[in-house]
Amino acid sequence: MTAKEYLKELKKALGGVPLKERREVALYFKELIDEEIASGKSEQEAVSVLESPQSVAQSFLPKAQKPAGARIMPLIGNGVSVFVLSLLAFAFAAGAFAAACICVALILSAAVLFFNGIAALGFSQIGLGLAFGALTSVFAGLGAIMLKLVSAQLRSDNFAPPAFRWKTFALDAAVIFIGATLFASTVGSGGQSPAGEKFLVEKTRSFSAEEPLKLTADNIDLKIALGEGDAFGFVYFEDDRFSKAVNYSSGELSIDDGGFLSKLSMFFIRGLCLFGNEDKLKSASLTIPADYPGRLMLELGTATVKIDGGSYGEIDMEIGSGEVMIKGALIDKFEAEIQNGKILLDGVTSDSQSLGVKNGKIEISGGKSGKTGAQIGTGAVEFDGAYADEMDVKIRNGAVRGQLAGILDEFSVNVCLGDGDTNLESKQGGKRKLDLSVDRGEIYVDFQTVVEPTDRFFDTRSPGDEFNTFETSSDDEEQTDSEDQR
Amino acid sequence: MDAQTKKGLLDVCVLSVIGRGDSYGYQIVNEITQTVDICESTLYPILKRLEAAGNVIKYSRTYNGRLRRYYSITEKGRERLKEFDAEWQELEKIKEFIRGEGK
Repeated sequence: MTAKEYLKELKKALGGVPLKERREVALYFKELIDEEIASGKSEQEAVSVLESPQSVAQSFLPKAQKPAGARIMPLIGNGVSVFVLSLLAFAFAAGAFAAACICVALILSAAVLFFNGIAALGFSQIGLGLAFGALTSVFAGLGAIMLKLVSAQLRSDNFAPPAFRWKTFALDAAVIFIGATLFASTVGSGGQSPAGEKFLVEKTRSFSAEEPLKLTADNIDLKIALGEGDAFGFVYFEDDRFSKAVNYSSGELSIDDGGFLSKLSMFFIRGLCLFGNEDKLKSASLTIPADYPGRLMLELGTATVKIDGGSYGEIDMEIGSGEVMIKGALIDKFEAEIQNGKILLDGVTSDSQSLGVKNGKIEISGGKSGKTGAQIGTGAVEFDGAYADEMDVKIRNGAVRGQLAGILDEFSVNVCLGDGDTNLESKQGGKRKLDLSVDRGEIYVDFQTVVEPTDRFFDTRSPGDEFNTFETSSDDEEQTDSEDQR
Repeated sequence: MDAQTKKGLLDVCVLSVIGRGDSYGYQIVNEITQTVDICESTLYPILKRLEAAGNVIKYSRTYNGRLRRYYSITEKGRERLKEFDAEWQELEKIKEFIRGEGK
């Protein structure tokens, strides 16, 4: 028998001895073995000169547990039957098992919350992420304490309460306290975004012409249906496992054939959520109802966005490179910003429009707007019967030209031209306002009273088609698609 | 020998070994077994008893890479040894009386 085996057997034989005493005895015999070995004996010889573990244990076990004339009953007092003792033992075992189950559940809950928190952080919902992280801390702390209590109780065979270690307890308590405080403060400060009032995915990634969204993977079928009043953030995340159709409506997200993480995401995401590496995404399409009163925000790298008809509460677009083509739609508030490309509006009715193109063109045909602002870095703004109560155009290098709906007398005109030609002069008097500012270029704006809607941008929609489609594609595809559409 | 008498004597034996100089379990066993038959599991409770009574104190020290727990006699322990000497003299008188030598 080796020393390790001897000591293991000794500890086992000392099962009825309190843990601390058991360790002391084992340490004492280990010391003896070490000394025997140091005196020149082999390990086996050193062990063989000692008494057997069972014999040693007999010296230390309480008399009540000794086989000779042993009486178990005095442990709990005279007169207690074996039946009662058995019941107590069963109750203790059941209690320990239940406590262990609770511990495992707590730890599993902590793990789930942890992953949710990480995922929420990935979607810029810092508040939710912190809240989940805090709950993780609370659950993990509670689980740790309970686990320690249970394991200490199970190791102690004499039903004595486990040794209380202030340091360990204080650490666990601190974890719980910090977690609870963080959770309370996070939720209390509005970490959760109210549905329908605020965009859940406010800012996921900024794109620019220099760093557009990389679209390199195979096509995926990505369709999202939005219910009335739903907020939606269009975020590109794709993973091989989750490249399935995503349906989102009325606050419920479902991912066809989705995986574990996707299902978990239902806890906190009210929007599109496909986890993974966005660099793999090549193209995607987004389908929304034709009448959507909520806010739609798109942040796209290279994209062609088409909206044909329908009614919308608010549309906000940021596009690195591409085109936005909207026809016959009613949009309460419309904002679009493109680094390189075009914004083409045909018969769009809005309370306000804010259009910005760094390099490219803005074309507005027909439609009606309370206030339209158009800014161009280099390029042109062209009107074809556009109507706005207030029109504000600013161009650094380029031209503003075309026809505005109405007559000149209706306008109070303010022309500011740095270097170039103009057919308009500033004037006062009209109720409608027209501000035109061009640093370098030309201003040629006429007025017309009747405007026929044009149909330049789109094919006619199929009858009964209740959805609009937003598409993004890689550069090559986009060029081809755009040309085809035209 | 009566168990209780032997038990009391063993306590004093161990205490006297420690009284000659700080010692550890293995050494104590080896010294005592030259005179009295004692096993390891017997020594341990004696040491615990002496420690609990305040006759010895325990401290650990590493020796050649292994841990040794040394026992050192206290003043109280020395008093106990003196008490034993006095008791032993009484026992001698009792023995002489029993043999009839004292008469």
